[in-house]
Amino acid sequence: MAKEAQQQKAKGGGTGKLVVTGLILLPVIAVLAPSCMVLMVNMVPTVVAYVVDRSREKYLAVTVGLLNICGSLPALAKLWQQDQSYGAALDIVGIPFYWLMAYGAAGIGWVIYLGLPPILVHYYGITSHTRLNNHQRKQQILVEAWGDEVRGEITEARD
Amino acid sequence: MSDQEQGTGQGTGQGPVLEGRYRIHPERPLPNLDSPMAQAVAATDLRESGRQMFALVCRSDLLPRIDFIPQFSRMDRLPLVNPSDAGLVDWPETGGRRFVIVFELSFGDRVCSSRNATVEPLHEDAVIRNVIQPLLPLLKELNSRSIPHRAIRPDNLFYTDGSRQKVVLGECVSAPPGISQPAAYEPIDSALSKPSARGLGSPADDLYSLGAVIAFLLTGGEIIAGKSDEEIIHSKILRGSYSALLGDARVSLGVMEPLRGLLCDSAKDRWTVVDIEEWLGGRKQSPMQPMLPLRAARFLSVGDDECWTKLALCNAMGANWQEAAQLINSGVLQRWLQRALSDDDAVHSLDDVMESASIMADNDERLTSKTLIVLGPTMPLRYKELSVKIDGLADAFAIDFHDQQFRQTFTDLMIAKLPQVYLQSQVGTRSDQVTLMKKFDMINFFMEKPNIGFGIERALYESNPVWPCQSPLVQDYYVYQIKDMLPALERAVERGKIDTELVDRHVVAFCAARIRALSQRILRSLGNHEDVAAFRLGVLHLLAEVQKASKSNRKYPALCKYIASSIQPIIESYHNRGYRQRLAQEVETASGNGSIPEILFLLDSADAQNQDSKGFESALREYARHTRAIDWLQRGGLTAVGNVRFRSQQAATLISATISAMMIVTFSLIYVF
Repeated sequence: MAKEAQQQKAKGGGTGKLVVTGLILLPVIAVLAPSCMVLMVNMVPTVVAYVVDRSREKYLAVTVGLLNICGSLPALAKLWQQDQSYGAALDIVGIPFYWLMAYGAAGIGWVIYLGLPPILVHYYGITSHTRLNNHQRKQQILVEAWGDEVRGEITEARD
Repeated sequence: MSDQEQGTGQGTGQGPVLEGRYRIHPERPLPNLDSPMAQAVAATDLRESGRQMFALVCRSDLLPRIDFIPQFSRMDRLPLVNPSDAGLVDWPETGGRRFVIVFELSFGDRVCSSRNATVEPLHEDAVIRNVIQPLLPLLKELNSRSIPHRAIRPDNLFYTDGSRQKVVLGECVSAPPGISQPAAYEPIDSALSKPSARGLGSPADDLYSLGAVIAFLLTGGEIIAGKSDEEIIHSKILRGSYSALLGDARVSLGVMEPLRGLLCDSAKDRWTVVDIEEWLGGRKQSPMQPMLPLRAARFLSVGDDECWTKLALCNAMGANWQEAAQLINSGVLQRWLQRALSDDDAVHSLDDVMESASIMADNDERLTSKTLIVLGPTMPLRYKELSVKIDGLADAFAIDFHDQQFRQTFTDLMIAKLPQVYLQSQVGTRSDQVTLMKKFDMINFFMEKPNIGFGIERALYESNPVWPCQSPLVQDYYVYQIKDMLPALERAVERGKIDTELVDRHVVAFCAARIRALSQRILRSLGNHEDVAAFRLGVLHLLAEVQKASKSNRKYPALCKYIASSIQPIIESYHNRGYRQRLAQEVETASGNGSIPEILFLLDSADAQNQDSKGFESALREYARHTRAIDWLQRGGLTAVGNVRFRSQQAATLISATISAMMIVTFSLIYVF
């Protein structure tokens, strides 16, 4: 019973947040509707990354999204130079250069995300070896200073 | 005399020197001057070469009367062979040390050449003039100081000079009191005791001996010649001492009076020095009548003896231990006491003993011993083959310590608390009752504790304050004072006598008995056999305490070197290798200085131990941390798929954010300018 009550409470809380977020964003969307239109088109790779990324932290979405936004900045700048009208927005959406900029930047994000693991595996392999040697050297120093007992075979310290 | 003078000659020779003054000549024995328990050798006074000297070399298994030597030394104007000096000297023949007592040879021949010899009977006047009168001042002095001589016998009397007139009394300090006395010259109770257990005794014992000596001189010793001690004791019990020693010899009423007084078998009624003085002054009384014990209507047969008196019965039962128990248990003894002796008090006392024995579940030995205490309260304490005067029990314990059978009997006797029972039966009759009771309780206390520093060894040294340490390590050095212990151990090390440990049960018990303030912590350390380091540290503490008690700054290089070689377990008890090496070097240096406290200071530093302990605990934790890290790395902790994915995701995000930030800044700059 208590569990159900908690779930209901959580559900209720989520709806509340959505309403608040909607109330804030709605005026922004209303004012910046052309910009939002351009972004909706340019940020498709980020949406895809968000959907594909199953992790809780959504690292892929963040990685791709940040670069995707940067790639969309020229289009937004152009729109804002043209008074941010719906017509200008449609014109800009139709220019392949801006598509290329936004999607290219998102692509770089994808490349970084997918390319790093093999590099890190190699790097960590080398680091592991170094750290292992380091720990073993320190242990050897301890044994030399305190004898084999320090290995923990004799656990009782002298009174 | 001439032989003696030849023996003592003034040659310089080689030999140990006592107190820097008296040279002892072991190679020149003087058998004529031997005491029963000490060998006489020539001696030279290095300061006054004209003095005729000799030395008595005491037996190493007996204790001379060390406490009394200074007092006897001061009696130089009394007719006594008094010691000039005494002490321990290195003894070349055995390689150890011997206790020697130096005397001036200022007297003539012995009155009686040996203990079994007879002499020409002396006239009564000669005995009074040459023996009793000269010895009276000495007896008065001994009586006033409560120092019994306990060696008054014919072969220990010497003529003062070649005229063979007056006599002087021989020495009495080379052996425990009364140990050399034949049964004829000791009162019945003392004669019945084991010679080593006759105790200090009292001046009354000396007066009895004087009476016996007078009887010997008057009769020439014919009456007791050829008789064994047992026969003489038996005769004394049967007929009384006077009759036993004088037989049918005819003496005048004048001499009979002191003889009856001095040979009285009851110490309480015996003549004192005052009586002798008054008698010599002219007081004449009728001689004391012999007080023979009550005679029974019929005898009781014990062994081969027909016992007519309680005293005789006591003696016979003590000699026939098994039969005695049967007599008691069968009720024959009670019936005899009641019907033949009509001694209702004895019967009641015996009933009490039987009742108490049934409650205490006493065995036959204990029951018999307690019965004998009741039957003869003035007789020695008897237990199995042991017969001791109560004040000589501790002496016998020391002298016969190495006799396994005696030690077992003594242990049984102490466990049964028979000495305490004996003393309780004598309430109000002994001045030393409380002292003795405390001593026996103390012996019991220590014997019940088996640990090192306690046990039978501690009881031995506590009950005999000047008894030398019996440890095989130092026995030949005759260590009876704590200040001699370290020099003895030093010598033992130098001679390679020590195989493993520097101390044994005897050494520890001896030190614990002689050093009042010895910490119990040290004894506990020494009792810790499982922890060698703790034991060795305890040894070091003990030796340092001994040095402190010795009040000496003497160095002991050999001992310290041995200590340095044996302290490896202590050094190994420290964990830090560097500290161990440093410590070993410092101890090596300190051992070169021969200083035990210095070594102890190095090895028993609480700060160092604490630091080492904390450091080791910290090192343990650090090592364990490294072990866990290595384990994690070896299990692929860093290169694991999950870790790499997580780290690469984070890195990708970071890179992306950095690039984005740079692009935004760049774009903003382009846009603005």
